[in-house]
Amino acid sequence: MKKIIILGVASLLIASSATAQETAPVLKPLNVITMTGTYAGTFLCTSGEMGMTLSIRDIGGTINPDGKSVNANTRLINGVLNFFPTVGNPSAPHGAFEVGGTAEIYNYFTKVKLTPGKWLDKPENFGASGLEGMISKKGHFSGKPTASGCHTLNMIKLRTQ
Amino acid sequence: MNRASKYSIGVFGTSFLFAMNAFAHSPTYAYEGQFAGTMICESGEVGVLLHIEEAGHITRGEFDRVMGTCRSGSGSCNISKNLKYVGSRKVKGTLDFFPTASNPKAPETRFEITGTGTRQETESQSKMARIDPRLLNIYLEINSIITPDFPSDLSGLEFKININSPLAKPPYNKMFAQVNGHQCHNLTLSQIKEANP
Repeated sequence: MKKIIILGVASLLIASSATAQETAPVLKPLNVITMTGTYAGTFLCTSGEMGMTLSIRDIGGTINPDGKSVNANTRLINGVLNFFPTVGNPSAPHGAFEVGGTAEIYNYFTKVKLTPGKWLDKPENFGASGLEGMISKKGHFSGKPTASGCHTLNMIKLRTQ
Repeated sequence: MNRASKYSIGVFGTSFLFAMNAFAHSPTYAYEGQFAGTMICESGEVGVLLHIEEAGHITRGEFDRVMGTCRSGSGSCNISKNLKYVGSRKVKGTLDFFPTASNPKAPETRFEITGTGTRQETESQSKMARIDPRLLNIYLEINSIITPDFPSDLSGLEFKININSPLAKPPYNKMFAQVNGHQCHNLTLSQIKEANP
């Protein structure tokens, strides 16, 4: 009788551990976790300084050319980009649009390329622009909008979503 | 029923509505959300990101401590104070400072804030808003008290944010903020769109 109980408990433990393995979430690389979040800063255009916030969300790894394996270091990302006036350029427009693109994860930085998507808040006479930049391990984003005439985009990571 | 009597009922019905809701505000507290902009401090331009949300009802005692009391127990001061109290909520949130292109050495800091959000409406504005929500006049004051561990170069900072939207059609695009004290000024915030969950 005692043996039966012990066997029963053992099989329950094995079953529960198998279930735990099946349902355990796939852990994202640490660099991906540190990359996602909200960034804020400013950039310069011919019209003056403008503010920007960018939220980045990780969607997952990309598929390698073999069509089967996943490249965990090149990630698909999306988010929302907001731009807004600053003290030095109070007449600048404010608006927001969705962005999507890729993030290439390296040891000490992440290279980000984003293209504009759907407008969420469109000001008149203002176009959406893509974005290219690097994110350091400390959460500093430096880059530029792809629109001509805009440069010196620097943002810091504010919080993890 | 002739046209005149229909009209009379309408007028009396409206008056009754006034009596019932003399001190009632619209339930919309649209100041919740995320706002970004920059301001000028002694060290130069500093970026600001403000996240604010409602944190529940405020008791009359707490309200009186923040907003003060009237000298007597009746009169116009009390009417407007009561109206202000009904439109007040506790608020909480976060305040982030970030560097800008013109001041890349500005401090990167984040603070949790708590305070009081108060809708400023007169009695007649409140009544009009009850008849037609488009007439809702929001002149909101948020007295956000910063948590004590503030850096020395920005010590004593207290936000007083006004949203003034005569048509009250959310989202409110602009918030104008005054920073008490002499160190920072000219803060203008724009509402930020956030990603869908």
